[in-house]
Amino acid sequence: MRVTNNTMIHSIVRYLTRQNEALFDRQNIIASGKKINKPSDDPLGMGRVLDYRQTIASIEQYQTNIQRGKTRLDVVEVNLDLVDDLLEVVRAIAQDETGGTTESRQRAAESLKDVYDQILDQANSKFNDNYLFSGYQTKTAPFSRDDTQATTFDQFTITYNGDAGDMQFIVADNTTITMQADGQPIFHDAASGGINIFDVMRDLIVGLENDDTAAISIQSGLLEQGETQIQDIRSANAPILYQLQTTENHWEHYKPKIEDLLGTEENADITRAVVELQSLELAYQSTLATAARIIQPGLISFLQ
Amino acid sequence: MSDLNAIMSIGGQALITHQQAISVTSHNIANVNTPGYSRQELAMSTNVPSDSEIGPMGNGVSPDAIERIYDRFINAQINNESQELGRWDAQKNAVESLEMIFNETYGYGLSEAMSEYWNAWQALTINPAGSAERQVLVTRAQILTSTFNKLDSDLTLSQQDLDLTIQGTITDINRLSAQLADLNQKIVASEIGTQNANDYRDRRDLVLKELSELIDLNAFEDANGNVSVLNASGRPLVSATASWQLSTELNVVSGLQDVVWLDDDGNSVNINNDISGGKLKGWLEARDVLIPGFLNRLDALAQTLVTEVNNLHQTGFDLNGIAGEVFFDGTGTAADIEVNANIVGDPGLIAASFDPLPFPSAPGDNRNAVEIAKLQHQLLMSGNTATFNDYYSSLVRDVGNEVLKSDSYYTHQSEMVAQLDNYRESISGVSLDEEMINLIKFQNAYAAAAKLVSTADEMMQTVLQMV
Repeated sequence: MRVTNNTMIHSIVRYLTRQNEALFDRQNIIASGKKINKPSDDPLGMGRVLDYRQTIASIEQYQTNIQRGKTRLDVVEVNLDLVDDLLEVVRAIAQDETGGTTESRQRAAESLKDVYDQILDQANSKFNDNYLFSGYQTKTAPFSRDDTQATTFDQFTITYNGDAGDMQFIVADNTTITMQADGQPIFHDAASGGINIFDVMRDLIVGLENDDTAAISIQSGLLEQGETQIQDIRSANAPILYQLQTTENHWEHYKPKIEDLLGTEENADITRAVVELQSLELAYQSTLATAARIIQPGLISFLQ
Repeated sequence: MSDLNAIMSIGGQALITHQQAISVTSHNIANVNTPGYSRQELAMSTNVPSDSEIGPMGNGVSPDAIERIYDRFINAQINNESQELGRWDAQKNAVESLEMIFNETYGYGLSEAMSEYWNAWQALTINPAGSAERQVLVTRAQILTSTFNKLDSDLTLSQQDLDLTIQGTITDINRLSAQLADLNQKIVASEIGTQNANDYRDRRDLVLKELSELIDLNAFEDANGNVSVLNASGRPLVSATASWQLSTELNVVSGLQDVVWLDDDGNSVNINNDISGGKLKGWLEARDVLIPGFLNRLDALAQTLVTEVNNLHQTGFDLNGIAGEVFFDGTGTAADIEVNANIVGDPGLIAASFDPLPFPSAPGDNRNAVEIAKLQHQLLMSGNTATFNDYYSSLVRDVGNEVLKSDSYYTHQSEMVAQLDNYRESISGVSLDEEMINLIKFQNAYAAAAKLVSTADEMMQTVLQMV
């Protein structure tokens, strides 16, 4: 084929342009540290990158949710533990006073009034500005002592001001863990055959004040059932804690894997990119050198 | 005597002929870098021999014509392939600028905005009455809607930019058509007789090639030397010395410019859908098919998001125990999606709870927020086969694929046109080495012819001295 000056020149320009483009691409990859700098670099890869990123963001949120759930369970547990201990103290005092004197019973009644208030406080405890045991009515104290009509302690009644709501935590895609927030089964369960701890304590205190041995011993017995009630609630929380921890562990193991996949998809292997850059530079320089040798000589320079 | 005169005249004619040959060579050398130039050659032939007793005697050389070395079929092929080249070049450029709009490389695009939005709902479930959580949700929702708005407006702006480009291209096409008609006239005028209007023809080929890059066309030369150009839908652009104009007309439905052809009476004929090649096709394809496709998908995403969230939100109850309003305002397109201004003003209106009755409100009830948060991973798009993020990431993937596709077609076409150009160059291109040799060749012949003239002159002198 007849090759003219223009053929060679156009050819060289085309190759140089193409090589410049490749050099530019490599440079971009090295400078940004990413293999995929625009969707067209690797469309399927870009799609996967978006998926991985969303997964990681979701997992981080789940981890936060689980952490808050565990903390809430912890706080509930600490509260109930204290209530349990207090009830034990009350029961010990009650047992002591079965054989006590009138004066000691009066003293006991006074100190038990403080314990009563303390248990009431525990039942009304808050976590993060929300009441723990009111169901959905987290801005309303669950238990209030109705003292408008009362003149003596035996007229105090406890009202439950919350509802039967619970608390859901999202721990995975479309998966929630539910925690009880209803204070009634814990403290006030007379309606479904359980113990109303406050009423029992009130009756115990009244019994002590009235020096009523029979009442004291009946209430002691009921107190024991109350303690069991609380302990049952505590052990019902154990599987929930277990579920939270298992899910947490799962995410702890799963997340690094997704992060790895994302890195593989997205991040440039700098070493490899630099090596490729060098070989492209070499090719570019060869083209330039060849071009110089081909373009320059012409018959003109040889004619006398 | 007459023989001596014959010798002198042969010498003289040879001088003139070779001088013309050098002149043609100099034209070639001067035009080595002129685009579209075909090298020319002086065709020489021997003169008619005259009779003599010993047989026909040659009468020297005379120039016949200046011929242009070219292959007409190559030009037709180049024009055809240039149409495809122009189309993919234009489409590639248009789509490359589109993929920048879906700015997902560093993670600040719609994908992250959606992800943050759903996470804000989840954060709300942990503390449904919390004002900080509610405020964050409102802010993230606003970021989401403004990302949608911006994507939509950037895509629409691209369409308008393409409008301007198309109008510019139409101006170019009209200019080239007029030039073609003008060149037709010049060529026919100079070719009366048997002469070749070589340079005009080169120019006309160049104009044709430029025109083929812009729009699809059929060109053919008639017996008179006129080139007629038809647009592929059969409407003439150039015929002999007449040219027809293209123009643009506003399409009220799309708000964009349609391409129209103006007929003899000045009526406009809409040829928007008839254009099938050239840069015009590339721009039109990007503007009228690709971008609307992406916009529709974006709108579908926004629509479903708005509908699903609003439905759940309206079945829920806010911090005051009142049923939820719509969470998103607007008609559900990416252009006008926005957060309900009432909710922006008072995040307490976010409906996180179910019906609180008999209580006035249920600040700790996060059940509606949970339901809304779960929307993130539900299969709500594409006939219930894809999540929101799946749908969006397949959109981004498709934009990337369009660029790759246009790029690969463009590369293939430009290789092909380059090959054809090389072939054309090998036939019609000027090689300086060749011209140098020709120069020497003709110069030697010129020197020899001059020697011939002086020899004949000396012979004449000798004869005269004999007298």
